[in-house]
Amino acid sequence: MDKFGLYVPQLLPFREHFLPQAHRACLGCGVALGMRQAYKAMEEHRDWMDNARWEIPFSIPFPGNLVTEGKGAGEEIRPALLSIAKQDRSVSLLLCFDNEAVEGKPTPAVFKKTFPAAAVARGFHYVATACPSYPFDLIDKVKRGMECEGNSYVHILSPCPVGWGFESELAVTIGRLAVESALFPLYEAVTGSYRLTIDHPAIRPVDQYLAVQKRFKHFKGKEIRDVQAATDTTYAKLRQGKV
Amino acid sequence: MVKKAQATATAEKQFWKDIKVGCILLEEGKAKPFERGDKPLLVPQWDKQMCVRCGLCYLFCPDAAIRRGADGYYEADLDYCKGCGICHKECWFGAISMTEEG
Repeated sequence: MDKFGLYVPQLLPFREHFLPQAHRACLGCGVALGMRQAYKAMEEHRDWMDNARWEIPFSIPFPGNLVTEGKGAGEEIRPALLSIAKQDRSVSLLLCFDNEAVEGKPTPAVFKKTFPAAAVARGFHYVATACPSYPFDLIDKVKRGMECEGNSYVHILSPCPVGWGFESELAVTIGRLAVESALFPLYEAVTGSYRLTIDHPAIRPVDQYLAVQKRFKHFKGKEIRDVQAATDTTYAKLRQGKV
Repeated sequence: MVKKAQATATAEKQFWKDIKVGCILLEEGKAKPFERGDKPLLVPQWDKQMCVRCGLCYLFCPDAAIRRGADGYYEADLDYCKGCGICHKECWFGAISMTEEG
């Protein structure tokens, strides 16, 4: 393998804005990973980044109208979406880190999937879903969200080893499984028209994703079939550009 | 000796009047005061024979604890590595093994 001199991860900026000293996340945290990759996307916008570091955990109005939001803030995400849409700034980007923890009982992503749709309905120009298991896709989407005119919203699935119940070394693998089983499809909506950014030719069955996690331990045959049916219908719609 | 220990214990003890209204934490959570804290149980070790210096481990580290050395190989910052094992799992070439720090 010596004949290859350059690999794609080396094209990213090596300067770190997301410092290990400045957060206290658990081991294998998906939020920390997604945040770090989002910071990599903002490398070209140094004027935003000079004062913005990971100093205060959540709900920070950054310089340059970037807002990061933990979904664990309960129902505050909807007023936040509304307020940003009302403010009508020229550039604003909302990153939502979703670890699927605030629902009353554990539900896979198909049964909620309302946040990007709500953002599209509120007139966000660029809406996308991303996952830190696909880093270049995430970096691309955050960059496009920053550069587009008007408001933009990126919904980031962040696997949580403690809350979902799996080994911390599987955190990236689980995110990949969620995308490959079409439970969390990666798409983007530019002014309301949907497009899948990663479309796997062979979709995995969902039970591979559900079986690894302890939070879905009570899912037996009927529930798994329900999840599979809901996933198939939503994904078939998404392939045609509808939601 | 015992009295002294008790005195320091009472001096550091917080009473309800010291707690801010609404139990607000005025300081953000950081790992900076815990620098050089407890080491993780398992730490990554690179096998330089198998490593091709692709940088996937660097890209997937949630704690930004993997940095690039002068020779192009990667190494872990053991002050902040938590031993999650993502780099070991994601390495395509199996060059990273999780070993007990010796």
